[in-house]
Amino acid sequence: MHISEGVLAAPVLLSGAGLTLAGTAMGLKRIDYDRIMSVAILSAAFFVASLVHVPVGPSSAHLILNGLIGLILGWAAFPSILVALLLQAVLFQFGGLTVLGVNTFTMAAPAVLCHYMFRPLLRKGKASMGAFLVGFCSVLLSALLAGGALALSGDAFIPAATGLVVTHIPIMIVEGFIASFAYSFLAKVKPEVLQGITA
Amino acid sequence: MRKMYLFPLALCFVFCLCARAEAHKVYIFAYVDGNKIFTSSGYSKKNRVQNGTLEVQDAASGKVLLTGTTDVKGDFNFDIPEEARAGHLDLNLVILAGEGHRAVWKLPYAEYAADATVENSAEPAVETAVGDAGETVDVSDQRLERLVRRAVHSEVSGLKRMIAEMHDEDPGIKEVIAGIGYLIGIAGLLAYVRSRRFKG
Repeated sequence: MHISEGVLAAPVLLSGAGLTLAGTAMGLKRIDYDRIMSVAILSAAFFVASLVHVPVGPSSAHLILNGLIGLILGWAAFPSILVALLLQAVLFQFGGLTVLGVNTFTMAAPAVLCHYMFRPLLRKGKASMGAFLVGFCSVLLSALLAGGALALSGDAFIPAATGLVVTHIPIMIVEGFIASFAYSFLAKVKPEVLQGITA
Repeated sequence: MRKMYLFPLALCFVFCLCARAEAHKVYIFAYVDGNKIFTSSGYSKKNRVQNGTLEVQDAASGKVLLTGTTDVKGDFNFDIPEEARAGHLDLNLVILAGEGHRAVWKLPYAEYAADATVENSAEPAVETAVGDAGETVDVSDQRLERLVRRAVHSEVSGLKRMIAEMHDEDPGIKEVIAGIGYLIGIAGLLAYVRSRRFKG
């Protein structure tokens, strides 16, 4: 779901960059510096996840893991995803530097939103269900946001968004399970990572 | 406490196994052969851009000279537009693979100009060459050049295909390790700055 350079219109690029800047500032303000290593590890997971492909018909889509990052980090997902996308753009030539803002917002905003949307569910004890929904809905909302960004730059929204959502349905399911397993695993072996969510 | 290392280790293990998987980035490679331009577009070596839109644009004005659709192999071949030759235009070959995937191949005029000059150049100066069997063959400069050009084309076409495939290299383990190294470095730096501030 990396939007390439030269596809989006200038106003979309600028507003994406502005929103990402605001999100990153918020993330850096809220970040707990004792957890900086968790942020780096999740960034690393996001960075490599784009190389793990799930076959979808004749094509394939890659893992994103933004849900997992949002689930554990909350607002810190913004700086975490920004750095990972920057490295992907520089080292893999995925996306690009001018679209970095839009791509970061597309991935991080749904992650943060789902973190707050499903936190009550996680606190109520329905952990696997809540974590699955965070993983699933983050990818779904990201596909819709990317479709929206393309639509604002001249593509028709319905075909662009439908294409993105359809190719990412298997990813949504896989990411739902990954988030769910990772959450229950962390709850068992390292519950302090999840302190912000459960307490 | 020892268990806390399990999760990142498990993640690293899974990703190392998958690190050679395909990547979602669009590539385009193009070369000129005679009066034709051959393009090949893909996400990776195996995963080609099917039914992608290829636009041939004038690099200076952005005007679209020609549009086509890639086949199942991600290829689209076309005759060099007259307008491009006449105007000595540098071309941009843009592949639009949908869902925000786009890549550009720059093809300057100089790369496709050569064939045009051969067609119109040189008066047919007749030379005499002696063949292996001792018989004499008349070959004009122009004809000789055309024959050599054809022979070189057929020899080089395989190489061009090879270069096209090399161009489609996916990111390898080197880039992955570099990226993870950067992330750990950044985290380390932040932790260091933080600890200094506490001491100070």
